[in-house]
Amino acid sequence: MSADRAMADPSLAAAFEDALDAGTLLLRRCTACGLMLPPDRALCPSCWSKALEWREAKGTGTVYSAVEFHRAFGDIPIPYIVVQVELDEGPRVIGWAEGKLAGGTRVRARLADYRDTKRLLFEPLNFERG
Amino acid sequence: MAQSATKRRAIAKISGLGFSAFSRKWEATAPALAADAAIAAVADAGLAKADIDGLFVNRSSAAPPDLLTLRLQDDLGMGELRLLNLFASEAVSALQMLHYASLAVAAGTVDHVLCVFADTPIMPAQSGGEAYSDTLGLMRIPGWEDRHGLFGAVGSYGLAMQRYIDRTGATPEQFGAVAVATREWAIRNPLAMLKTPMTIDDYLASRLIAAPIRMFDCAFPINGGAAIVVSAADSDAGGDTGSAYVRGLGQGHCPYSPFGGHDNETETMGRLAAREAYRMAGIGPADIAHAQIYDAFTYTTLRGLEDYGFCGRGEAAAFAAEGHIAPGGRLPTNTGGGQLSGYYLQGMTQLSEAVLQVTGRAEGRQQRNNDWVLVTNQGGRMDYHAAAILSEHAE
Repeated sequence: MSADRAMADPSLAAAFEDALDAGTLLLRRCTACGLMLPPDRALCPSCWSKALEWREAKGTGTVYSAVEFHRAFGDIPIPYIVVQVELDEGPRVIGWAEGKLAGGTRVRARLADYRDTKRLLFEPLNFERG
Repeated sequence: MAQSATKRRAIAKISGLGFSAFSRKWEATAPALAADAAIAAVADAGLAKADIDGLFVNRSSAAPPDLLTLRLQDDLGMGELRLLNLFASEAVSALQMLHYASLAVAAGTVDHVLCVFADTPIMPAQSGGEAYSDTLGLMRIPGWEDRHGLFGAVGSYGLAMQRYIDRTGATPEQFGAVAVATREWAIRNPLAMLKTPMTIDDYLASRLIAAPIRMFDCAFPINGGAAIVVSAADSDAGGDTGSAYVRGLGQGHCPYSPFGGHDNETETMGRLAAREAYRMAGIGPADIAHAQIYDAFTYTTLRGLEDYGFCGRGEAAAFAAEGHIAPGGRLPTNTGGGQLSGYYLQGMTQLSEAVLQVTGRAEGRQQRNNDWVLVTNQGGRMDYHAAAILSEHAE
C-alpha cells in the first residue's frame, strides 16, 4: 500500500530533514512555472521541469481535515489528533495538534521536538503560548 | 426487449465464477486459495483447463510481492497461455482484469481469460487489522506519517471522511444507516461473514478507531480467493449456471494530490469511470437496477453513490438514511453485504456479488431486475477508480 509511495530521491528527504532539525520547514518550488510543491518532488508534475528549488514555508495555513485516534497502532498514547493542513503556499501537509482543530481554522506551524527528530505542531493562529 | 440504437451489445461475458473457502484465521497460502477459486471458476464456466488461454493474477497491493505471483500458472499447470499478466493496481485490479480481458476476447486475441484474486491479510502472527495498519504515505517523506501518528487506511480515510462531514454535514447516524443496511443484506447471504443483526445504536456504540471512523465503518478482512472466467460474448461457455454480460466498462484515475486544487474527498475520478461506463452501455444512473459499490468504509459507499450519479453532491448520506440502499429500497446497494459485512476481497467483493445476482444465484437476496447492474472498484485513497455495467442480456 505504501511501498510504491516511497520518496524517489533520498537526498531530498535528507535535505528536508536537515532543515527541519535546524528549525525550517521547506517546500519545493518550480522555477519554470512557479508552482509550490511538496518536499519530495524532483519533477514538477505540472510542467515537467526538473528545475526545482527549496523555499522556506511561512508555516501558516488552514486546517483541511483532522482525525482523532482512539486505537493505538504505535506507541503514541491515545487519544491524539492528526491534522491535514493546506499551507498558504498550496501544499497540504500532515501534522500534529494538541487539541481539536476544526476544519477551516487558521493555524501556524511550530517545529516541536519529538524523540530524535522534529514534527510539525499546528496551533491556532491567535494562540498565545503561556 | 427493445433496445435503442445507442445501446451497445455485450463486448464479452463472465462465464464462470469461483470462490475458495473464506476464513478469519490463517488456514492456507494465497496461491492455494487462488488455485481453489480458479478451479471452481473454470468448472462453473463449463470449461476444461485446456480451454483457458489467458491468465490474469491479482495480488493485493498491501501484500508482500511474493505472496501471489505468476507462479500460479505453474501451480495450475497451464502450459500454453497466450495472455498473462500480474495486477497490483491497488483495489481496482479486479475490474481492470475484467476490462482488459474483455478487450482481449472481443479482439479475438484469446478465447477464455481466467482472472484470479487471493489474499491472506490474516497470517499466523498478524491480525486482519494489522495487515491494514501500514501507513498510506500521504507526504512521501519516509517515516513522516508514523512520526505524526497517522496510521493505517483508517488514518487517511478518517481525514477524508472528516472533510466530507465538514463539507456536507453528514451525521454519525447517516453513516450508521450505511452500516446497518449493508448488514441487513449480509444476513441474506450465506457467503457473508458478519450476520449478527445491527441497529443504529449498535453502530453508535461501536468502538472509535480513528474518529470519525468507528469499527462498524470498516471492511471485514478475510483470507480468501475469488476468480472469474471472461469469454467472448457469443461463446458457448457459461455452462448450466449462465453468464453475466459485460455491457459497460470505464476507468478514471487521479493520484492523491498533496498540493491542492483537487478536493478528492468530495469528488473523485469515479465520476470519470462512471461517465465512460454509462456511455459505453448507452444508459444512465436512472437505468441501474442495483449497485455494487466499493465499500471498504461506509464513507466510500456514500462517495460512490454521488460519483456514480445516484445523488447530488453531499446528498448521499441523507439518501442512505432514507433507506434507499437497504433491502426494499429503490437502489439496492451491496446486496451481498459488501465489504463491510460480507467479505473483503478487494474489488472481487463487488464483482462476485454482481455475477451471482445476474446469473440468478443470489438466493434470499435475489434481485428480480438484472437488466443493468453497476459494479465499482476503488483503490489507494480514492485515487484509482474502475466501473463495469453487467446485464443478463447480451443486447
